[in-house]
Amino acid sequence: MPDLRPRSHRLAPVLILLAASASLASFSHGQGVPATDPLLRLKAGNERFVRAVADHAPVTLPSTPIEGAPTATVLSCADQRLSPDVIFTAAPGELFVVRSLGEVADRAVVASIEHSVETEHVPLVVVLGHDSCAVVKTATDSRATALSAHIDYLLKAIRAGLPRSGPDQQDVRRAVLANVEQVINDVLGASPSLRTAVQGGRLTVVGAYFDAATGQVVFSEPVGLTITGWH
Amino acid sequence: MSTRIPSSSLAVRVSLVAAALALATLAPHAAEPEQGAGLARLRAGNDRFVKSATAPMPAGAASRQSLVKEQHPFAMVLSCADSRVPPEYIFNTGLGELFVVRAAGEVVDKSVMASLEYGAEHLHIPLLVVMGHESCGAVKAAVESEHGEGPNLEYLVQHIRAGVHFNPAEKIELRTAILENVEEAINDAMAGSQILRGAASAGHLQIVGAYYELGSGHVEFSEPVGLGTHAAHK
Repeated sequence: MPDLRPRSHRLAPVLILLAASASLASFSHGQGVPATDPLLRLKAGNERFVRAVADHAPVTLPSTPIEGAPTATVLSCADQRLSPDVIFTAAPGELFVVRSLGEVADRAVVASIEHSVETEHVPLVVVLGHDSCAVVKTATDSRATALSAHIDYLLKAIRAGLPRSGPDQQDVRRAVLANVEQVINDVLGASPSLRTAVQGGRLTVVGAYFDAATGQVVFSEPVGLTITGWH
Repeated sequence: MSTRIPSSSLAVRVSLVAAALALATLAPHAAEPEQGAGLARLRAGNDRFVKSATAPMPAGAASRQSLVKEQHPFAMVLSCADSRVPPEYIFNTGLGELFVVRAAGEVVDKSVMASLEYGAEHLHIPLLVVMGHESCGAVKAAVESEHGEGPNLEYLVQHIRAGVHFNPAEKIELRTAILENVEEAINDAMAGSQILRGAASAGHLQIVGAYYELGSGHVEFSEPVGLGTHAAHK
């Protein structure tokens, strides 16, 4: 298979995620977004989760499966401290969920997302990073070595997205956001059909960041396909 | 695709297909106590889910602060990305309990493999469950359609097809194909990873196959996978 990483150009800059992520929680569309907007559904579901966390209340999950296509596809880390279904209090059938450590996209991951968009007509893809991500943290340590070829692949994939200047401990959040951006670029870079779907307005792609302490998810603005850095 | 190996060199075989119907009542006799406990927890959680899909999550918000720092998953689950099969719901687990890897058709590719290795090696997770599910669309596409649309989906189709004895001339029962695909995913993981083989043979990692029935909510487990070179048929 062709190596999906690293790429010398970036198709889909998500820099706004880095610049504005701290204030995104209160972000509002302000342009009359329909109630069926899949992103608004995710936000409402996450608000229920955040309230439960704040109240130290049990998390109540909807039990009735939704009919029809899933609302969104979420690519997230395999870390046990998060579950997209739980943090968005989603009903069974609502979220198509792809998970790998550091949300790194190998070919099967890209194909899984394509399957959700092409076969199930999912209109929204969310690439979700999370705070204190252990594998991203490991990748920021340039001395860390991998115990196997597979883990080496993972660390290299993550490092490809990290800023060149040496990040320290406090920059794990920045590294996670950079990795989310890199993953989005990798997924779109590897998938002509997803790019076509974005260009045709059938698909929205956003980056997101989960904070385990509060349960809050913040979102980037929808990703465009502006090509930057072509040489 | 680097993990595919010829069937003659497979180190692992699961008797999942032959024995699937009887498996629900089998005791995990070969397991170490702690590993058996993990499987028992999953069975108990699935029982709660089968009885009531609205059973509240056991670890609620109160324990969230401890989650921020600590990592104590008792099992890792490799399952399909299908929206109807969230493992945390099916096993009625709270956050912090399950390390979850998901790809369409639970196909084992590089990131998936690395994730499982990390779970075994760094997080010392004692149990790996590879779970297929009823009416799996990815497996269905692999056994029913000629080609995947585009190179990435074609890759997925070929990957699944390699494990399910695909023959366009004969119709294969979907359930059988799904069980064969679970078996193949386990074989791929074991054959492609020295870390997973090492953990399993040292007794640090128990591996089981599983099948989730959408209608009933019930999960059937295979016997723990052995590392012998012959099939575990009774």
